[in-house]
Amino acid sequence: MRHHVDDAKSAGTDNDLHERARRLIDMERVERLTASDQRWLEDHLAACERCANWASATDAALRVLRTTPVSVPRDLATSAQFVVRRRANELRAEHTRNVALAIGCTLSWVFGVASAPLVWKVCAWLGATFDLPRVIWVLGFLTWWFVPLSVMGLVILWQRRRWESESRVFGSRWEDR
Amino acid sequence: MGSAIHLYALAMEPETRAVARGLRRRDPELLDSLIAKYEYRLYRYLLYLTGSPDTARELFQETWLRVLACGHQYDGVTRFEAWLFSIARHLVIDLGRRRQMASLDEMLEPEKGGGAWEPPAPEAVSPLTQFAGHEQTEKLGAALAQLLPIYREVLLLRFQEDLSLEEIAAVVKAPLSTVKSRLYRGLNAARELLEAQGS
Repeated sequence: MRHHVDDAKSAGTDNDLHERARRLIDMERVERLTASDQRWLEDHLAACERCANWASATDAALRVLRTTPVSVPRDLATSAQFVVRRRANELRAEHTRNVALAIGCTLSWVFGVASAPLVWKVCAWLGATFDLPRVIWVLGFLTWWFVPLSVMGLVILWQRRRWESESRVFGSRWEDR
Repeated sequence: MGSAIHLYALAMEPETRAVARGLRRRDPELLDSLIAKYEYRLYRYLLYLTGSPDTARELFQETWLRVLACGHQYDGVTRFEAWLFSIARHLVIDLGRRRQMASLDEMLEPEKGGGAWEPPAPEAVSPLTQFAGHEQTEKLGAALAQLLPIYREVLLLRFQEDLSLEEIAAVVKAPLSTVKSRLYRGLNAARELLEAQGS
């Protein structure tokens, strides 16, 4: 009985050793082993043919994974370079337009602020000349003052909508496939 | 003297920093050279993930358009390829979602036409089967096709692209421990599948 238990124990220990060796074989390839684990593994592989075969099989699988060739379409890079350059030009042009828009808005705002007293006087004079209620000509003044802001808002909205529709077209290309 | 120092500083600048600076400027020469440099690796990665040469080709272009648009987000500290692969991976996931949504729409409204998108058959999933003539290649193709995508992906990033574990974790947006466990399981599964193919 005691003999059986010893056999089972020894078999269990053996299995544990092989299990450990295989774990370390994988670990060696995925991350790093400590020096002592490395030494233990080398000793074990030198003595155990089965685990050495296991290590060879693992290396063979990884070698195949690493060296498997893939054929790349001939014009892959050139067509991508063309598309990217074209988009880069578009972005550059868009950037220039945005800068021009920002400068225009700033100038119009500065002009609006600078001319506000004069426009106020003109509105007041028009109100007095045409005998308009005060609220009407004040509203006229505010409208005149907010025109550049409204135009800018409309331009930004238009640009955003255009950008969204372009994205949608781009996205639908995939869905159509 | 000053320009010589400047040139020396440029020459000594880590490549990733130079790439980050060029991407911020949307330097067309730099983009051209990056596209040429990563042509094979990026295409191979996309091909393995999508299983379709046509889709891989389209996503290849789309990836570079994203690089152009989001180049300012590259920090110049991490390796460029890790950042590149994470963009490519996002696009693959986006495409999968869009196709899933499209097929769901078609399922709900079948009269709108078009068959629902079906995931490719296992033999079609592996692009490697197209490159016949090499027994091992065919075996690997068949084996990889049977691997779960989460395992296939980390195996490719680790053993084909030689990314570090940390870089893989950044690409797949998963904790390091998850990456490791996927790698071990994937390696185990790949070995078993290859053995089964061989026997």
